Parts: sequence; C-alpha cells; structure tokens
Amino acid sequence: MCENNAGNNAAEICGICLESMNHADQGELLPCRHRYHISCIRKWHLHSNDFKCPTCRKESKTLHRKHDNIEIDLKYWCNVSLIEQFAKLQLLNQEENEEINDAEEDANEGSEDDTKDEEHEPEGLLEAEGPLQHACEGQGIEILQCALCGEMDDSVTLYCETCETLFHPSCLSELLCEVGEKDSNCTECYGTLSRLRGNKPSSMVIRDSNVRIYDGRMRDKRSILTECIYNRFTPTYTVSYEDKCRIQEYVRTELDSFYHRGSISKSRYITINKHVSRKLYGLSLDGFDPVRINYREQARLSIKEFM
Amino acid sequence: MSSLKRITKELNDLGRDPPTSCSAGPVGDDVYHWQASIMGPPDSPYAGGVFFLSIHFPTDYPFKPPKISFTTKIYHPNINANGNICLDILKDQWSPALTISKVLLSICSLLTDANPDDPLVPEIAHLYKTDRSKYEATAREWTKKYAI
Repeated sequence: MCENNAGNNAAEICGICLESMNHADQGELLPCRHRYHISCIRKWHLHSNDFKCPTCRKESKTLHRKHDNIEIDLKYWCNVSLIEQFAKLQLLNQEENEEINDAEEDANEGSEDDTKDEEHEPEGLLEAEGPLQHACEGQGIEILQCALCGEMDDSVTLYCETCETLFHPSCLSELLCEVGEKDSNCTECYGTLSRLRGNKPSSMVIRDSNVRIYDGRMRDKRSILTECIYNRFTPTYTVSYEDKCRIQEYVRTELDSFYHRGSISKSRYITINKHVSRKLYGLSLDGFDPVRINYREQARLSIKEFM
Repeated sequence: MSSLKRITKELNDLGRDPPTSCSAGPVGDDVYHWQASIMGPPDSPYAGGVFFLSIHFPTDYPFKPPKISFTTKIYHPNINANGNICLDILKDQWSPALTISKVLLSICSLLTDANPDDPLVPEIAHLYKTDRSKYEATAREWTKKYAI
C-alpha cells in the first residue's frame, strides 16, 4: 500500500481512510511527518490510547495543519471542537440577552487559530479552532466534562474529592455494572466521590479563566482508553483481562446459538453474557484453567439457569 | 458510512494486488463479514495446509480492529480451539493504518514464529518450549488432518 509518501506530488493517500488527500484537508504529525486527513487522525485520537502515529507508532507532539501552517498541540486539541460546540449552544441561549463582545487578540493558546475576527456570529464559530473561546470571554461559561464518555453537559454531577475528576452518574453506574463492582469510587485514584453542588471547586480550572474544562479529557465511550479504564478499575475477580476474554469466548459461543435461532433478543444476550461471564470468572480465581474447569459445560448450564 | 467505504477500498486493493500467500473477500452480500484463507508457510509445520479464517468488521472500522478467527482447526500456542488468535495488533496494538492484507501477513508470520511467552493455549506453549520436535509433529499431523 502506498501511503504517506512524503514529498510525492501525486494524490497522496490518507493511511486511515485510504482515500486521497488534498492540501486543504491534510495534517502532518510531528515529529514523524506522516500525513492524514485532519478529520481521520482526529477521529483516531478520540479512539486511541495515546498520540502515537498510526503508521510508525512514534509519539506525536503536534499536528501541522498544512493549509494555514498552524501547529496544533495535540494535548489540547482534542478538546477544542467540543468546547466550541458546547459553547455555541451556550451562546445561542444567551444571545437574546447580550451582544457578544469583540474578541481581543489574546494568545493564551498559541496553537490555535484566531485569525477570523468577523466570526462572532454563532453560525461561523464552529469553522475555526479559536475565536469562540475569545467570544466567550466575560460570559464565564463553565464546562463539565465526564471523564468516562467525554460528553460535556449539565448532568455531570459527580466529582472525586481527591483528584477532582468528573463523572456522569449514569456513565459510572454503567461502568460499575460492567466490572461487577458495587461501590462507586473514582476510576482514576479510587478516591471518594461526591455530588457537585452549586459552587464547583475552583481548582478544577484547566484552561483559561472563562472557558473552563474540568478535567478536560476527551474520550469516546467505545474508545480503547475507556476499555482500559474498565480493565484497570478494581476488579472483584483476580482474573486477568486476557483470561476474561477467553472465558467470554465460551459464553458467547454458547449464547450465539440461541441468538441466531432468534430465541433471545440482543439486550437479553448482553445481560445473560454479563452475568454468566461473571459467574465463570468467579470459578476461575486462579486464572483461566480449561483443564480443571469445563467452561463450555459451565457456560451452557449457567445460560440455561438464566433462560 | 466511512467504514463501508474503507472496507470496499481494501477489497478493491486486494483484487488489484493480491498478496501471495493469502486471500480474502466477503461472504455473500455482507461486506462486514469476510472469509480469508492463508497458506501454511513453507518453513513451518503448517506447510501444505490451507487455513480458513472468518473476519468481522466493526461498524467503526478502521478505528476499532476487525475480529478475526480461524475456522480451520490449527495446533498453535497462540490460537485456541475456538480459532481465536492472540495477536497484539488485533487488540491494544491495533492501528487504523493496518489493513486486512497486512494483518493476514502478520498472522502468517505468527504461524512461522509462535509467541510461546504470551500463549493462548498454555499446554501447546509448554510443549513448544520443552519439546519442539513433538510440537512440530503434532502441528503437522493436525495440518494434514484438518487443512489439506
């Protein structure tokens, strides 16, 4: 496959979508200089655990946006467009009450584009990386971002008293259900969680003073990173992740036949899978042991119990 | 959907420039479900065998890895009785720059060079480490029985 031939003038192929790129939509990772569509590499960064280049696996520091010659610091960049979307909504709400003040040249995040001064209309705000943050100034928008799903909204109401990570109660309970835990503690430091009340802890401010992200980590619910959190989160069972996968295979194989025959629904499948897998983990306290435990038989019996 | 586009693209590329030791393509009309075949590498106990695999693409492919498993029985420390493959690039080392063609080549090299230190089937890994010729004999036997 001829991807990422740096310096080649013929239509260059994006190594992620395998489609051709033109000057306007490509970004170059630095320091490795491999190029991708901006949208493709960004989407990958939402899924990946780190900022390693998909082609050479070298850790990337910045993304060079070719058409306007801007270097984007990857540490911050993943949040930017979500902040903008959220802030746009906030702005639309507030629009009736106040005019948006002129943005000032303010280089608080040197990496972002703040060239288009006329874009204080909410419509235009999503197109550029930077102006909106300036437009928000003086309005004190606070953004609460769930550390698990990356969504930012008002229903983020739990925070860790120790490390101040924020959570949606719903995301956390989903995770707890997934890992079979009862007590909800912080997924980062196992600290105690509290409910956010009117006044939010001020030490959570990560970015500039007016657009705030509380522990602004961008995550996709289905991302590998989120899966890693699931795995790291204190398991009730001493079974390793690999062993869990092996055990789950048995359960799925048994369940698949029911599913394909149409005798159980998708959601029923998930529930049974979860419960039976957990039961089998409980049997495997010394690790995956197909000699001692007949997983197939156990899975079949446990599924029957559930049906 | 972008995954569909990318899968179709890979399919076209495979048709245009097929790898020497493997082949792959959709099963029926479902572009998200493929079947692949790998020829046992000549310098391995799997030589002469043809091994079939099933490939399921997730809807967010290539941002999530494809699910690949052997449908032909094979005696290998990193492949279990259900055909599941223990290969890092199919799990946490997945990269969207990988393609099915590259992954199949990696599976070929896994057949030549097993990784007994990260086994999926500990008994086979143990034999691989302690009595290589016995492991090879069994692997050859299975190849003859199931893959030829």
